[in-house]
Amino acid sequence: MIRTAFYAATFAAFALPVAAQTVLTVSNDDSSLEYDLAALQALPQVEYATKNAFIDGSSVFSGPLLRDVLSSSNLLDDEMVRMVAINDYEISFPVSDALEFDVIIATQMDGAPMSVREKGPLWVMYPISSDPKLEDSIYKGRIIWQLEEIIAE
Amino acid sequence: MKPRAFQLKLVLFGFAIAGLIAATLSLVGLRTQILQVGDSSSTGPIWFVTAIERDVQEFQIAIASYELGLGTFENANLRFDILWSRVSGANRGEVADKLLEYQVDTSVINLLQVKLLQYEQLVMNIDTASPASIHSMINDFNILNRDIHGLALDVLQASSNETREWREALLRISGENVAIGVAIGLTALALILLLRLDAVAARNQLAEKDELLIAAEAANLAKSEFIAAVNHELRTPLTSISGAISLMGSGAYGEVPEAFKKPIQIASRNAKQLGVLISDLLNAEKLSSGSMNFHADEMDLASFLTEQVESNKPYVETFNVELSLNANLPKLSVRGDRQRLGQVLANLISNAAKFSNAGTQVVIGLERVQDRAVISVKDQGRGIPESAGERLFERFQQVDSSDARERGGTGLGLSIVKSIVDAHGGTVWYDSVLGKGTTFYFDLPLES
Repeated sequence: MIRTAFYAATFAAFALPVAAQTVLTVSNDDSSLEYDLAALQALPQVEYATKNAFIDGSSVFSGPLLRDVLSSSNLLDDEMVRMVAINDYEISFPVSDALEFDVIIATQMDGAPMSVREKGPLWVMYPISSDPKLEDSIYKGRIIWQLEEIIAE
Repeated sequence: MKPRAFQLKLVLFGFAIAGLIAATLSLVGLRTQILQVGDSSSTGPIWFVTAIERDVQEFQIAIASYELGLGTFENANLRFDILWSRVSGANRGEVADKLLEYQVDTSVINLLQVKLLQYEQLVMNIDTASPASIHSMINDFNILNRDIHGLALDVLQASSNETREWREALLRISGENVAIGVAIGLTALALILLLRLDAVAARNQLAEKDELLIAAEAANLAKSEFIAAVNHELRTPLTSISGAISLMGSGAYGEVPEAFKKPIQIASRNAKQLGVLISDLLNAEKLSSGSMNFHADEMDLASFLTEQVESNKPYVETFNVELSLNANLPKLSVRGDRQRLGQVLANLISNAAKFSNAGTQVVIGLERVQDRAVISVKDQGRGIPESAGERLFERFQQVDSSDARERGGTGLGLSIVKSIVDAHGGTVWYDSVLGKGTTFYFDLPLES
């Protein structure tokens, strides 16, 4: 009972960020780019269904390619970038992954935007279901939910 | 190779193959296990529960900060949502699977969900909430956090159990490594044993050959010594005996009384026969050791055969057998040792006479077959059984061991015949019908 109520509340859309609010900041050594959801959704979108370690079964994720976002800030020649989440999680992320795989900054899950309670508004996603290599546990740590910053290292 | 040695080799070979297969299969199994161990080494749930602890504290700090005027309303709400997102993760994906697998008491997470639902409205309206209700909420989360810490310890305990299992898996793997090592070692050992077995077999064969060679040399030496003894110890006294008998028979010691004539004749004949026996033995030895000399002369066979018939006639007649030569002999000429070929003919004729019935004939023939002269000695004796075959021409062979005693013979005659004919580039063979008679043939290459 409690659980059902809890999940109902989780998926309620009230906690969604407003459209014009900055959801992602990408910085290189010289400058910063700020994105709101509309700006991210204006970039070419990629969509795929995939499983991951933090959901049951699989879901459809969509959003811009990470490499496009990195390219806009001239970060593709870097070896690593630092990725920071709202919940203070942060890791060094290999840029090569963005080139090798169709890594996206998902703005939608199953066709709807994600609230912070649903690990949104941005969730870095790999096409895990289409490449067995991506089932390695090393990629679990790179599926960053609640992403808010990408910084040159 | 002996059958047992072969079986042992087969077993060793099978053992080596089985060892290799076992090692290979174990390696495949080992790889699978290593992959499994790699997958189960995740420390996710500890991290997750610890993160909940931290998110609760962050939320409490955000609320307290707001209450103290140090934090914002948005931040308090954001921390609430972050905590919410974390707690909702407890029932999904791998974290849910792991918590279930660890069989830890997760009631605190359910309680946390109850509290989040309970305080949701309060947090969303924190700007209008009473300080008392905010304090009460902070206290509630304090109590919850102790329980969450308890859960974190439980998960840590469970995951260290998992780590222990992981270590045990590693131990099993290293155990299997040892087993594979042993299997490979035994395989190598089996192969080495196989090689050694072969080497030993080869050495044994060599040793056997050596022994045979030594035995053969010893036998040869003994034979030579025997031949020397025969020559010296038998022939010399026999010459004296023969001489004395012959002198006695010729009346050199005075008139021979009529009653003595018969015994002297018998003694003379037996002494002669003994002399032939000794010559045969010596000739056989010379022929087998290759030390006999041959003096090749051109021979006219017709006249040679006529001479031989004449000189053998008296001996054949003692068996009451008639010796004759075929009429119209062709004129054929060969190169050969007159004396040795005479010996061949004498041997064949005496054999024929010995095995003939009284009143029958022994006939000598000569004909040309292509570029060879074929000489035949035909008797009407008992014949030679087929089973005798070529053995007849081997030394000390007689068709029937009783023959030697009955007919007198060394068993050397035909082997001497064969050796001499061989030395002339000819062949000896025979035709025989049991009970009807035998014909011995030998051929010689014609002088071109």
